[in-house]
Amino acid sequence: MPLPPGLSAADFDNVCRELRSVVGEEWVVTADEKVASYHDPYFPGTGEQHLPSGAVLPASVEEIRAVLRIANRVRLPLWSVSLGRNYVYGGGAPCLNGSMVLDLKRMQGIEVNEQLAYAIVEPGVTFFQLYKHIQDKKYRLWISCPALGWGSVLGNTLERGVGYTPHGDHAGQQCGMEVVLANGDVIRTGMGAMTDNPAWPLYKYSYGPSLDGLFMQSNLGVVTKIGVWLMPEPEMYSPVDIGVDREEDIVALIDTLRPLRLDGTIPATVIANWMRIVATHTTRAQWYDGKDAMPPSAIEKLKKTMRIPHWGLRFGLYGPTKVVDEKFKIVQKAFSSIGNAGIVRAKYPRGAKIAPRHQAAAGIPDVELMSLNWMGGTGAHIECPPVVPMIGAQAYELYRKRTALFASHGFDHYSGFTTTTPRTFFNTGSIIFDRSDPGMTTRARELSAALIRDAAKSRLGGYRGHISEMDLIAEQFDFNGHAAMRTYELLKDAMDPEGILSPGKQGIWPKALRTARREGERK
Amino acid sequence: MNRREFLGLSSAAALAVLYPGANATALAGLARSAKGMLVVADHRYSDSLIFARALGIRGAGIFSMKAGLADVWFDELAPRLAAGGRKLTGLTLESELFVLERLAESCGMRSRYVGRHDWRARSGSQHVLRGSIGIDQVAQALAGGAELWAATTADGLMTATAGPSWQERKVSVDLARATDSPRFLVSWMMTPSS
Repeated sequence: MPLPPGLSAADFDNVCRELRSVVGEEWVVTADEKVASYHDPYFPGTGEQHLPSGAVLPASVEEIRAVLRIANRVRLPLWSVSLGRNYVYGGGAPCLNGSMVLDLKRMQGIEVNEQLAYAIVEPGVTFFQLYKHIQDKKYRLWISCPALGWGSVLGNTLERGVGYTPHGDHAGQQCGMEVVLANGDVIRTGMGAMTDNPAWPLYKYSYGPSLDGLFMQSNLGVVTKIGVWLMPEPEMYSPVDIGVDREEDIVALIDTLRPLRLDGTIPATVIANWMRIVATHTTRAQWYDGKDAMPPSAIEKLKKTMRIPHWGLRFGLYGPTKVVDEKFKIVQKAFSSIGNAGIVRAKYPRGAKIAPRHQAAAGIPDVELMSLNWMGGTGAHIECPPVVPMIGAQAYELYRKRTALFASHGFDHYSGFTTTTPRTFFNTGSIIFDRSDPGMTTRARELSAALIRDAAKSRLGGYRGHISEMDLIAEQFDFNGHAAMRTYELLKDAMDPEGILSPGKQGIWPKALRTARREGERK
Repeated sequence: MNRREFLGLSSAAALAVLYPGANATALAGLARSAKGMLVVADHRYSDSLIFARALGIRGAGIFSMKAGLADVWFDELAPRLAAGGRKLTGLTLESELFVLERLAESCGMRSRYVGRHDWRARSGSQHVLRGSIGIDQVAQALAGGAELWAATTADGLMTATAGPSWQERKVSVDLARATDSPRFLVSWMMTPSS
């Protein structure tokens, strides 16, 4: 394992001894086999650049404060993770080689209020745990969770992750935070800035500037609690699938969807292309042996045999049964205007057992990763989804450009348009590769960088990114000479002068490292 | 014997196929030899079922993923592994190993063996076995299995002794892929980390 920058082996041993006196012997991890858990399992050929020196696992705010005191004194870089399961973006691996992982998984407090439909959770609480807690207590509440439910509710929310229910905008459902700052101060945001104020998890804003946003996708503090709003269990949940057969039908699909998103008829939605649909059921080798991207003839054969559309739009309708039925009539009328649209609906009254394919939009967590098998071998994926306005022609143009880029690097285009806010999509474009194939891994990395740069040419920016690409993505946000980054750096220097918190996250580096990196670039 | 025939045998008959010539006492011992082992089976693929069966007839507990990986993990595997001292194994898709490795870490489990069985090339198959167990024993078992390679590989895992470090073996043998099989499967085994 690499040492933290600036620390000798003897220094690091001493630091670990001090950390053990804070958190206990077993909660400072330096053995290679155990530190390997924090490696990026999908590393796109960059694994050696993002290795942790070890991990420290505090169990409380007080232990975190003590860890930060030590880290500040010796300038030990800490990389915060809630559980480190953000795998497509790097997992528990740090931006700065040699950082010590600050693993918060031991903090697993859950509090749920059924009457006002919220939860307060600590970093170690997974979507599965929150779901089970609610089920065990028989609360009539639903959670929203991402495709994989094994991650941290807090961690996913801070990264602005998404789910598929009307609460799918996880950052939008966050209300109230508790944060430990680099200097050890503990703050609560919003109404929580008043001791015991019951509106802390209920009212998103503050008296004065709102601080919550500073700690999302950020390295300005260590978040130890968040409030998340939950959805009352609906009387009726009705998932709807709409399929269209031609690639160009995406224009009409999106332009029909948009007014229904804006007026609230349809909540969170996913539009999946043929590959995103089919990769949950089959693997590439069943259909095509070539090293290049699948040609249209092979794609058409696959679609016909598997009876899948070129695009599939899926969303849920929720609420009182009569309201859901009326909404469906509106939906049916609107999408019937698209000539070849197939519309299929299911209905689940309250308490009904929900089929596995409809569970995501009902907030039921799962861990299916079938699409990782697409190329065979040791499956991995990487992506940087751009934020795209909900305009059909623009989305189609982007899709065609990205298909060409995927093909030029030898990959099939896995694509989806996910909307959790009514005016935009995240255009997910997962590059699925076999990381036991060095050539393919290199191509995956090259494609990913090409996609980021190409999106920026269309003035589109990524909403999240892999640790190895955070600088590249940040560079694309260039308004007024990168004024946003200058502001982040102002805050970073003020709030974390020793630069100990997650250096490099989202391209935000502490002053000492910034200067050294820029000098290195100039050379 | 083909795959379908093997899956249709009784436990005693299946053991006799894998151990021709073993007497009744030896077979009775073999029938208990994997007691406590947990085997994950993917109902979609006959080789996965055969792998599981080969251990099930030796007393291992078989757990199907038909209800979903999350259900089988939380309802069946996690409670048993939390009690400690078990081995977890299977012949599955690679994604299932990926997920189970990470879930099983919370129970102190680590992969000790992973075998990659690859039919993606236009002809033949390639098998790469890695582990900190007696890889040569597993390789030999795999190579000798023909259509029942999944069963003999499972058997090889049972008899392989612990090794000092990770080793790798490439096995060149052309094994016919089952018609229901994807072109890439992994055999694997996890044990409690020391």
